[in-house]
Amino acid sequence: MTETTTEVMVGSAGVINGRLQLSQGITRDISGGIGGQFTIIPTIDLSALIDPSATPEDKTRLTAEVREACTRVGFFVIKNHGIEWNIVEAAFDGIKEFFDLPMEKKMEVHQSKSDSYQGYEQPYYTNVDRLKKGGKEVAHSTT
Amino acid sequence: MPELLRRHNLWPNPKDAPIVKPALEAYRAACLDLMRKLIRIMAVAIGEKEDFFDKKITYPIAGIRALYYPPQENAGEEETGLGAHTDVQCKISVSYLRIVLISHSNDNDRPKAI
Repeated sequence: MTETTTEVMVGSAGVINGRLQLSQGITRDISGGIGGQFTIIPTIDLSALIDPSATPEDKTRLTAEVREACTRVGFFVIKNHGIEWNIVEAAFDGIKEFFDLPMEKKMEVHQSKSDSYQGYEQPYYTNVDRLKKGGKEVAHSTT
Repeated sequence: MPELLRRHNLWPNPKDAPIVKPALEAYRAACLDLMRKLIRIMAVAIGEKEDFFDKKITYPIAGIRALYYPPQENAGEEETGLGAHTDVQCKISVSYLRIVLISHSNDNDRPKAI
C-alpha cells in the first residue's frame, strides 16, 4: 500500500499510513489482496455439512464457497445450518428474560464477581479506553 | 473437560429467571456442534486436512455473548461506543432478533460503531 495520510479514525483507533492502529497500541497490516471486492454478502447453504446423504462432491462445492467467501468478503450468511429454530427462539426468550430483570438482580451476577470474568456487564461498562460511552448490556454463557 | 479449563458463568437465581440458563446452554451446544463441523470445511479450504484443527477444538473457548442495546436518547455529543478493537476468536457467528439501531456519525456519513 502506498504512503497515505490518516484515512479513517473511529474514536482513538484508525487507519494511519496504511496500517490499522488500535487503541491498545496494537497495529495490524491491512491486506492489499482481493478483500473488499464485493457488492453482496454471500449466503452459503450448509446442507452438505448437515445432511448425512451429502456426497463428497457436495462437500467440495461447499468448501469452495466457504473459501471464496472468506478470502473475498470475510463473512457470510448461512442457511440450512441444522439448528432447530425453537432453540434459537428459546435463546432469545431467555436473553429477554434476563435483561428484563431489575438492575440490582443483574448486578448480583456481575462479571467482576466471577472468577472467570463471565457475567453481566451493564451499559457503558465495556469500553476500550474508558472515555467513550458504549450503551450495551452483555450476558455471557460459556463453559 | 479439565476443571482448570472450565469457565464459570454467573447465572441469575432460577426463581427470578428460569429460562435463560437452560436456553442459552442449549443454544451454545447447538452452535458449537455446527462450528465444529464448519471448521473442518475451513481446514480443507485453506489447503489442510479436515482434522487440522481438531486438537484446537477439543476444549474450545466457545462462548455466547448475549447483547442488548437499550433504547437511548441522542447523546448530544458524538460518541463511538466500544470503539475499534481486535477480537481473538477463530469464528464468530451472529444471530440477531432485530436490528434496533443503525447509526451514522455526522461526518462523511460513515457507519458508526455501536
